[in-house]
Amino acid sequence: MRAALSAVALAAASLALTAVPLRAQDPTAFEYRAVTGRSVEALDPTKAYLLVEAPGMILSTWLVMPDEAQRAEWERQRQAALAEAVAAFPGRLVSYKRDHETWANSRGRRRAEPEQPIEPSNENFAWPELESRRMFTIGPQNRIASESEYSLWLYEVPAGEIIFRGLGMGAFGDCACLGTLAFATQPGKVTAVRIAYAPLDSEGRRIDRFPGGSNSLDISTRSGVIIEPPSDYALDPRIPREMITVPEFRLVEAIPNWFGQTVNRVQPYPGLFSYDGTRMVDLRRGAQAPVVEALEEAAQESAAE
Amino acid sequence: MPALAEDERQAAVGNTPVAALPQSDAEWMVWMPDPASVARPELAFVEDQEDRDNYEKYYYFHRPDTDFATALGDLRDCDAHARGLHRGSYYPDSSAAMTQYGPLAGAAGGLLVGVVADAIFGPAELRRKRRVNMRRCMFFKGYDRFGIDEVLWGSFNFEEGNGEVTEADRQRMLAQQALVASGPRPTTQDLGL
Repeated sequence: MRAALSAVALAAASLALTAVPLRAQDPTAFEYRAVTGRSVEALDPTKAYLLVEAPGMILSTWLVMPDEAQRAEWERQRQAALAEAVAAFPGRLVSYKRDHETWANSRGRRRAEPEQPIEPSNENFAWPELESRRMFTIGPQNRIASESEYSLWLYEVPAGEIIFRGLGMGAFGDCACLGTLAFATQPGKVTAVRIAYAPLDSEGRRIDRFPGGSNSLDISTRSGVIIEPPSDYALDPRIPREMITVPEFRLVEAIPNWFGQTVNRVQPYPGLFSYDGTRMVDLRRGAQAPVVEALEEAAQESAAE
Repeated sequence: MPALAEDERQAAVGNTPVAALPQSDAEWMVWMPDPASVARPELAFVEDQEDRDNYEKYYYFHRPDTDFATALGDLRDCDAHARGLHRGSYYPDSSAAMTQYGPLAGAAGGLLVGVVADAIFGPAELRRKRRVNMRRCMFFKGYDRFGIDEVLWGSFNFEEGNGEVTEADRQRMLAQQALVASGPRPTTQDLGL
């Protein structure tokens, strides 16, 4: 049952501009914008949207997967940087030999020994993964709904594949590096998901709340991460029902911990997936989880009205 | 946590000749000792309330029917997550070159966020992050967790926190932890996640 929305202050009809500028030939660039105010009622049918539901003020981080052209451009840039490093190496070697001779002849050798440069090659020239440069965080600002039971954020996002990176922001949150979900966003669709934290017991099972007297380290460790199909709170009346869709999740067993965060994995979901050790097990064999059916039925009924 | 003293280092690897030990960090990261040469830590102690209160911090892992090499691989994998080594690059095996050409050379702005975050948070937060990561990662791999006295824990475990844990000391202690993780089943209570 949908909770009645409280009165929403109507802001100026403009998008909250948080876009990363789309520069030509920059594979790290992509557009995303928070949709707020009157713009929620005037969605562009040629754009893709992400609707995030949460039980409160919870930040979430998302990874926008690059396409093949962007990957090719990233590799081209890497090769160009490698070529520069190769060209510069002879000069670095000369400098090193001079500095090392000075160090060797210095009284007491108080300074650290100069490090011998390693000749760059295609095998040792490390380069940041393109995905690590294509992330954005939703929250805390720009909620389109902020009720006691739930919060909603609506973002215009690139059409394509998005991976749930984790809760929190950057290096200051949890990375779902040991198991997460990905899904596609499509033009003309508002792809809706629900995210949350979940208290866990010592067996890793979800509980309602931590026992009284729990120490802070146990609480930190036993905080699970949830991404799942949304509840009917996601059926915001300002958004056309026929645009709201529940994603077809893809299981992702591991993503790199680029920022040295605390690592975690998303909680299993009945009928969708479970874990066998570190392996994600796809449970989908036709039957869908009840909440997914309810949302789809609601969308179909609305379309028929 | 200070680096191991030389006698402790030698004790950790038993009678292995120094010449047979790895000579670089890269070699230590892939070192696979004979478990018979790794000194088994003392685990027995008389438990008191202070011990029980500290089991959130002082513990070891164990999984039945697990051999030493598998346990060491699992501990190294989780240790890599805990120390932020799984940061991703095209050539993650090029550890010798990473500080010159890899992410630590400043190419990845995102990685610098992590490095800066480590510096901002300080030793206490780094210790917390390590414990959270090791407990979660090993739990997901199916390992059980058992509490231990702080002093005994310190003989084969290390803390993170802006201090320098040499790769050699780290790997020696991970090997001891692997010996315990693949050894006889503890008779004390499994603490879980």
